[in-house]
Amino acid sequence: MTGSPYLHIRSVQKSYKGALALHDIDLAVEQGEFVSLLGPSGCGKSTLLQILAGLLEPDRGQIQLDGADITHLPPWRRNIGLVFQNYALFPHLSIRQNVRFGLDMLGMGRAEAEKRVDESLEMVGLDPSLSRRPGELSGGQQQRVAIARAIAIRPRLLLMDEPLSNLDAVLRHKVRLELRELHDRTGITTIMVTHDQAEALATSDRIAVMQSGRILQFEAPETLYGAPATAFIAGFVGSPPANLLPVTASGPDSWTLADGQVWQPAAILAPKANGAEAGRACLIALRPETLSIGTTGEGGLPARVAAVEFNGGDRLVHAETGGTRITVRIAASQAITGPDILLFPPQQAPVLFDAATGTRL
Amino acid sequence: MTSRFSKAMLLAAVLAILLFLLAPILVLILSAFDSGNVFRFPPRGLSLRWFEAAFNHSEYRSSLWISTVLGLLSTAIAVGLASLAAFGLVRGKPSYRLAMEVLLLAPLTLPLVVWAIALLSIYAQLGINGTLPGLILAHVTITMPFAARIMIATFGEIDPNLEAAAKSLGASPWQVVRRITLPLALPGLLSSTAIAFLVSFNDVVVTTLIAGAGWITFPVRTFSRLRTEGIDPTTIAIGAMIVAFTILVIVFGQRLFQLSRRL
Repeated sequence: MTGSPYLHIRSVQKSYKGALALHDIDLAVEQGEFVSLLGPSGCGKSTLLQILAGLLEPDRGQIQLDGADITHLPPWRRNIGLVFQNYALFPHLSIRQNVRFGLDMLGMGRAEAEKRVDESLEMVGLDPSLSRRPGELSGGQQQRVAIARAIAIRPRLLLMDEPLSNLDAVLRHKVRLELRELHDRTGITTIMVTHDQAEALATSDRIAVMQSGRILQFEAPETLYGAPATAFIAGFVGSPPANLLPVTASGPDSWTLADGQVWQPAAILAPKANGAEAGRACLIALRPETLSIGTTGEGGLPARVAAVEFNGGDRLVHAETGGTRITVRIAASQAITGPDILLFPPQQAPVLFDAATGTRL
Repeated sequence: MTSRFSKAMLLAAVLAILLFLLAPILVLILSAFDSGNVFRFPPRGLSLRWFEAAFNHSEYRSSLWISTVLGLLSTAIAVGLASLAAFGLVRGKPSYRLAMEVLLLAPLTLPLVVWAIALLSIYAQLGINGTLPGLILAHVTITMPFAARIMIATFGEIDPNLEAAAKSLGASPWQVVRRITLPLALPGLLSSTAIAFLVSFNDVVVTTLIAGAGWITFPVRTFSRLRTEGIDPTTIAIGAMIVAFTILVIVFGQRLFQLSRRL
């Protein structure tokens, strides 16, 4: 089956109690990819994951895995590993028995299964001689056991539903690196559901951003960050996310800000260069780290500093401009001269959205 | 100083309440070992003669036998049905779940006499009054609410993700039940079995009306003897044995499965 993707989700639709949870989802994932489904709660990402696992059936559409239609295959025949936010370890079984569960279901011989359990536990960095019950482990260790259990069956696909959300901040960061490393070592095609954009950016080859049951954009993290398809993505991805400055074209060379102030930017940022006719309401995406702060010069946005956050390596300056709050990231060494400053966007084609629809101009 | 005083007062209150609750049992057990021919308290001589009499009493023996068989059969049916209903309600989450739970617990809300009269008239129409199947059915009706309540709580505590995880690891629905759901539900199953059995074993009201003369259970026999012959020391000896048995069941149930947490 050359040419067709490893996992192919085609026109999948699902409704819950009359409301559409998934609209016509199409997604093609290549073998060995690490893909994140990213979106706020209720966007349908977990529903899609459950459909992939076979725990839910789509109302319409088809799912192909490795060239075979698995849409109506029950979960126990799919050979797809599942990792949950709450670990879902079997409390009445020991750690080794948990990891061995799937191998027993396959009818694997005892010696081979025990060897596979050792391998899987070592793979996630746990001591295979651990003879305790899951309840006696820390959250991070429990999640490692859950991952070992899922990869022990050598799944065709590894699905993870918010695997890091129950861990504390430090551990979350550590385990997310481990997830990526594990993926690179095993090569298992992985799909992770998360609401945390930083997590998705850090781990994934590609990210599908979801909102209200639709996939808005499916791209590599760099593309998602640099060229967001919608204002929602621009305002969601990045820490802090992009500033969205509402502007209305007041002529070929100037924008009107939300408070009526007129802004005359550099030519490359002007309405004429961006195809915005007079009267068109837009949102300009301004990444905090691309803005610079000055006191004099042409094309600057007059702003007033409201608060400054010191973060060690850098500072976040929160300033009001034209009735909108804008965040700017500057080097910690840079001094802020006074409350009244000028903000300079970078001299490059801006990312501009239609204010009404949120789509790229 | 005041704190020590209030602690002492609390202790006294607790002891008084415990005494009030448990004194009747104490009276029963002590009297069972009395040597006299009539019930008296406090006992004056020590003897095991009434225990011997109880074991040799053929009417009591057959009644105990009936009560045990009736209890076991109706408990098995009630716990089985209640478990299926509870699993369906908890996992299926039907829109009528709440209404169904209220209906399942309904027999607890009416006085048993009212319930018994209703059963009597229905069973008379069906022609199963005074038969063992009728009696079992009646006991299933009165024990099922308890079993259902415990099983709903039991299944509610089992994370559905555990079943989903097992499925993803290749377990068929039957294997999921056998390897995951049943082992995790076992404490609840044993609790509801113990409670259902005790409810069935203790019932007088429904049994009196439904059983007729054919199937006289132990509590019914005791009650009727109490009314015709007064307090019989044999009855007291049997009562003491039942108390001992019940305490044994509850202590083991509590130690092993935290019975009280599920009620």
